[in-house]
Amino acid sequence: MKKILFPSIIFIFSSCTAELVEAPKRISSADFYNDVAQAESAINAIYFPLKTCFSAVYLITLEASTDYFIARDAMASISEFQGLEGQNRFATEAFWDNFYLSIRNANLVINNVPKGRKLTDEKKDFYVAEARFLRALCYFHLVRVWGRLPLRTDSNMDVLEIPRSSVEDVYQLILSDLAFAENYLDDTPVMEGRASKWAAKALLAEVYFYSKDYVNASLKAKEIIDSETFSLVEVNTAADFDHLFSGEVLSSSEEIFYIHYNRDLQWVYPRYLLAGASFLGSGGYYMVSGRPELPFYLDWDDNDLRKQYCTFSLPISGVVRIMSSKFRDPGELAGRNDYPLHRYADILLLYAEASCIASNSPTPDGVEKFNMIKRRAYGFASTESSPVDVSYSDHTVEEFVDLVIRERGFENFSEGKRWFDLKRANKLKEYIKTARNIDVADRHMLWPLPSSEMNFNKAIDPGDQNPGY
Amino acid sequence: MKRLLFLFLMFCCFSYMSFAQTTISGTVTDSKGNALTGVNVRVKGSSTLVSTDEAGRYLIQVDQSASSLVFSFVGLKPVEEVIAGRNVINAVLNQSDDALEEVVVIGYGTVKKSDLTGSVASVKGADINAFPAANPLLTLSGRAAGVQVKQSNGHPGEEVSVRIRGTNSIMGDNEPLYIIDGIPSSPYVLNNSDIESIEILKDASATAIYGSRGANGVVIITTKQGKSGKTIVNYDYNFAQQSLRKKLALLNVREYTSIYNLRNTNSGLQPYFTEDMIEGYGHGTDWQDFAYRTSPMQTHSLAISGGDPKSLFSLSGSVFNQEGIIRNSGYDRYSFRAKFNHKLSKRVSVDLSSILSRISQANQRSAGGRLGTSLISSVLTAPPVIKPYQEDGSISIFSQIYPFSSDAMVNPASYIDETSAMNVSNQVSVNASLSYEMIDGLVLNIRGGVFNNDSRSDTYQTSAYTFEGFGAVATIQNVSFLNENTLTYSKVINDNHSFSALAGFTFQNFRYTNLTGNGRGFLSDVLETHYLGSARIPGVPQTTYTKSAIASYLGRINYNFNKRVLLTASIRSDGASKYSERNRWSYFPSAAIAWKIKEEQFLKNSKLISDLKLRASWGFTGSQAIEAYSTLNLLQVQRVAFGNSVYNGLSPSTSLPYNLRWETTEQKDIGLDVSLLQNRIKFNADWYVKNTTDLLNIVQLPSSTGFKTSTQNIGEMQNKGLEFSLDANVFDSKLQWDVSGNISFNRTKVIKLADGKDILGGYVNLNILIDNLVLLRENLPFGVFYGYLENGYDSDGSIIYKDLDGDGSLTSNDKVVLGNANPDYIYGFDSRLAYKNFELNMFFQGSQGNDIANVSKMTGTVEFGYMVNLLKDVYDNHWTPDNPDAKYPKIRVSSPTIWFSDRFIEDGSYLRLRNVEFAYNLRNPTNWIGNIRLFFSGQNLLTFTKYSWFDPEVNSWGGPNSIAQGIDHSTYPIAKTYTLGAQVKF
Repeated sequence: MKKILFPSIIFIFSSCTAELVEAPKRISSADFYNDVAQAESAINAIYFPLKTCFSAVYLITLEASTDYFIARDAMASISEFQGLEGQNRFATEAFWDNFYLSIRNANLVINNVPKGRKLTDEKKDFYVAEARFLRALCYFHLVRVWGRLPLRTDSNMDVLEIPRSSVEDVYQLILSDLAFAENYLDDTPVMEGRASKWAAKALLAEVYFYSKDYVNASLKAKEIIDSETFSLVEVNTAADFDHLFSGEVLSSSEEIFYIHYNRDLQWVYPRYLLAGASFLGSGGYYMVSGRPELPFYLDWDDNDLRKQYCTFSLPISGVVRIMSSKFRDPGELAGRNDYPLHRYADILLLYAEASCIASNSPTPDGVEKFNMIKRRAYGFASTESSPVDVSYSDHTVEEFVDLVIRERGFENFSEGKRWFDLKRANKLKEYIKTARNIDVADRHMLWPLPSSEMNFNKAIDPGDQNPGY
Repeated sequence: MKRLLFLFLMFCCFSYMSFAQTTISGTVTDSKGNALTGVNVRVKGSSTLVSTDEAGRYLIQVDQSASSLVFSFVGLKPVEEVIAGRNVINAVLNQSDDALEEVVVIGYGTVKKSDLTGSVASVKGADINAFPAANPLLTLSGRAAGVQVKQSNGHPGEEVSVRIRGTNSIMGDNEPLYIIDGIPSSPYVLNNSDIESIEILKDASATAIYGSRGANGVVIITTKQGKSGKTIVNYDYNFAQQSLRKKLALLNVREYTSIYNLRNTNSGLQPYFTEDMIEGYGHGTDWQDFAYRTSPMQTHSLAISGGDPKSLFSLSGSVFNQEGIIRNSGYDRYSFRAKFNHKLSKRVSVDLSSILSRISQANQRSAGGRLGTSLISSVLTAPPVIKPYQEDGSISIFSQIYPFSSDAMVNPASYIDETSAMNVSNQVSVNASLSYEMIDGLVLNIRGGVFNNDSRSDTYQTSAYTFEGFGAVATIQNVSFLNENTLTYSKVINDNHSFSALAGFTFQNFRYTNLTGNGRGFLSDVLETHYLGSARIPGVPQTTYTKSAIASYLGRINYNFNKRVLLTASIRSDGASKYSERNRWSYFPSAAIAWKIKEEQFLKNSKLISDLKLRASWGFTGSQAIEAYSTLNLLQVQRVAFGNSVYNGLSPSTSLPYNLRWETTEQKDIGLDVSLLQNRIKFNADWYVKNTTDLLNIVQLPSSTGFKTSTQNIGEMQNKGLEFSLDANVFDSKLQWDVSGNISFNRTKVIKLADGKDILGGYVNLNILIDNLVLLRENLPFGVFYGYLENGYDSDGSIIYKDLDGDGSLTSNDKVVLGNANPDYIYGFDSRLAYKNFELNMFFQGSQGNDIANVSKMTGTVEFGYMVNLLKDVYDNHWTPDNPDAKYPKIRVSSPTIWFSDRFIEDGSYLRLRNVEFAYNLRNPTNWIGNIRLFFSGQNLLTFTKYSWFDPEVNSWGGPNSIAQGIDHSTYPIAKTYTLGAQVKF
């Protein structure tokens, strides 16, 4: 008996201790980024937080700070323009986290893909270019929302605590990323929703535009226009805007760079925006809505097909509200629609404004691009002159710039771009005063840095929060 | 055959005798004259030992110097007979009235209660089976000092949270280790009547032998075993009716319409309800009556046990069937248990214990939420003016009836009728062991065990409930293998010295796999979850796999000096796969001393004091607070949409991996055990202090790194406390009255956190109120409530909050500690009165000084935007210019932001009559029935509390590793129960 027992116990001893070494059936980061499939999934991981961020509350929070929407309930205080507090301030932390998570994942690609054992140099450059494009995209949003930023790059990933860099330094990084990206990205995206060199150029045009480099902005926009890669989706009736915005559309000739969603991974923003089950299977929360008496709607011609497509009024508890119906997808839980981050229409309007300022006068070419947008809005062919055209000689620079900003309001209605645009043009305070008789607080021009950064990044002095927070 | 065997045993005895000279024989009986089998007969002062046979007979060889024989049997008082030349010695063993001689199960062994050096509480099977309950833990509440049982809600089959001597860990599991018949297992597989006893190991001397799994205490459950002799059949049946214990007073149609018309007037709007409308509503709907019902619960259990000198067995089967007080909720358990022991020879025996259980649970556990986003919240917020069903039988959709209602206000009928969640698990717990006494006193025990839990859950929401219908299936396979090898050696050197030693090696691994699938969009609700492939939008199947292992060396020495001083020392070395390589092994030592003062000369003859023992212990235990693979940098999958397809992304998680090691708890305990007046009064007191160090703490990282957190061993926590328990036999004649009670005081204090930074928890999002309710801060108790102080109302009836730092705005700097979820003390009191054949038993249990953060009440008392139903109290006592000091603010459409304030903190103290039972015993009604006990009992019939909501026993967000204790957030209410039952013994 003893002879059997002791050897068997010793056998159990040794085999058991071997089990103390963990062998997960999972992929560890230690040996990754080596081949095309791995690099692709590492690139996808950069998109993921961005898609999360643009999916709902970020856009609604941006739209709550416009001259055409008033937020309700928990978000109502945003539309008072006195800065973000309480739950709304808390909610912004998630946006920050998502942008920086994308940046981390981009930095991982930028650092590791060049070491990939089974990747050609061409592929390495391509993936690094896509990562740098996405990093630039994140920083462009971050810098406009929060101002000075801790600049996380591929060269300081191991440093936990770094101070805020100047806005200029952030733009410097964005420009160098985009210069690389427009060189090494492909002409056409790998699939709908991935970056192309045109996406990089469109973002570059916008970055120039926001940094008031109107010459380069108009040059870059012109390069995109002249390539004839994109064209406006033509519209005869209001319902034709379905070909541009509805959930049915997979891609359109107007898409430069959209954040894609589909049946399986839906866009939640429409659910926050819409009201009623006729536009979305599950109905909507209408967290923001307009009022008929706001100047924006009074100014918006009822014959403008965009107004007919994008708005409807609904009285609730005795208050008539203008609801947005822009991103509709009836019969779905949330939207299959894509978020039109950079559309061709944006580039046309950007060109109109930038070329006007750069030449210190409206230019025939710039006004023509502006008219393309107006014509389409009234159901005319965008490339033929129409009764709604404006003439380039009728306006001063300021008047024309104002016209473009106004037009951009109609064209980009509900697209989460208005607050940025009005801030850029230094018009926010004026517009809100006119629309709402509210003085926009200075602190409302930037959002507060999240406590997840202020409390745990010791390189940022507690006094170095954005003004007013 | 039996005779041959007997002779063989005798032969065996002979062969071990070197110079046998006299043979003594005899019969051993109990006080009633029944033969006793298996009684140990020992020659005093030598190791010669025999056992009695089935007829109670024994034969023993003694040498001439032997003076007396000692007869002993578990549970009976040993008898010493002087030989004085006799050849036939019959002995009568009486029931031991000395309970101190009870044997207590401890880790890897047993010990006489009087020889205990550690702090161990025992709960008898009778107490566990005193009233019907879905699991044994529910019956432990108030039974043992230092043991807090927290029911998170009243859902049938809900798991229970047990804290032994407070909370040790912030991130890790705080539940004790459950050992059933020697192997780690789940307490939910057992039928309560299968339990012989539960031992709760509390101090380090008792728990250190479980090393890295002992820090939260150990609960050892021993199931019933057969006894040699007549085969006994027990049949128990009980039937219970459960109903809602307390209904909340909400608005009726009149009050509801009147208060919301007032709301509109207050907000400058037209009143909504006209007199005609109000007339048309009639009595409206009482949604509590609609949702809650009286429901049955019943238990059948049949147990057969018996044995002979070589083999003992116990078999039992049971059915437990509980329907919930909400339709479509319930809990069924079918269990079968077999326990078997066989002596192959004098030195070799085998044991087998197996439990098979099938548990099915129908869940209506939709809880929490805001407005009506959960079943429980919807019952209270649903307007009384709406009927559950439309005339055509379809479920009323509130937001279609009132445009100002919200999609978040769901009809309770939608949850009850249109959602289902079934969970069925098959659980097996089997272990077998072989004991081999290699030489006298040296026993090798080899044990192998397996615990297996296969479960499947099916969740379905019909198209009437959710868009297009949604179905999901999840299966989980949990398997654990265990091997334990121990050597024990006991030796009595002489009257003054005896010792026993234990050494062992154990190994256990845990394998977890799961598979899930789901889909949305079904052509018919008939399919439920049984044709996921037909979904319009199929979900992606998911699988996971984790495996972890733990290997241990353990040792213990008990030394008994002169029967006066007892010493125990133990050590366990654990190696666990979950930890980083260099932190993989750790040691957990303990030491204890007990002084039996009663044995000293000056007390030996005391009539008053029948026992007096002083104990002291010290030791370390650990907690494996992390999940497997936590120290590895594994990539996570994310799914992203491009075009019409979905692609995978892989990236590290947002938690930065770090080297991790055990959480270690050092515990000191001093205890006193006193018995007075022939053990009629027994008293225990324990003082302890536990310091837990290397607590896993979430360390926050600047989120711009892309990592949000990292887990590191940083925190420290302290628990200290006092425990007292008292048992007394007040009357012991025709009228029997036994009382027992216990009370425990525990204080949990957070000593150290990462960087001294507060940890916030208990995040609640009700839209009108978004905040963290719970705070961990250094030098404060664990899990205090943290919020704002109110300062009356402003001139417009809005709540004013105190701006404590005076900076002119309300910021998190104005938050203060509002309350404490930890009780000052918890207690239990049991009274057992018996007169002739009648019994009256009462069991009270309570908690004093704990606060509850009542999240349930937020919606129904301060939010008026969506016309939810409100507490009647709001109708009676809201702000108006004439009532500026009202309890509730002004009723209006959109209220200013509400903050988490003192108004939501309530005293959660309670005293509860957990069980009252009246029983009648019918003894030997026929030849073949031994005893019939008929009883009628009630559970939770009386509760004394100031708490305003359903039940003070609530812990909505409690769980093994939750810091958010004591929060009431719309949970399934606890029922009161009337039970009728019979216990028959054949």
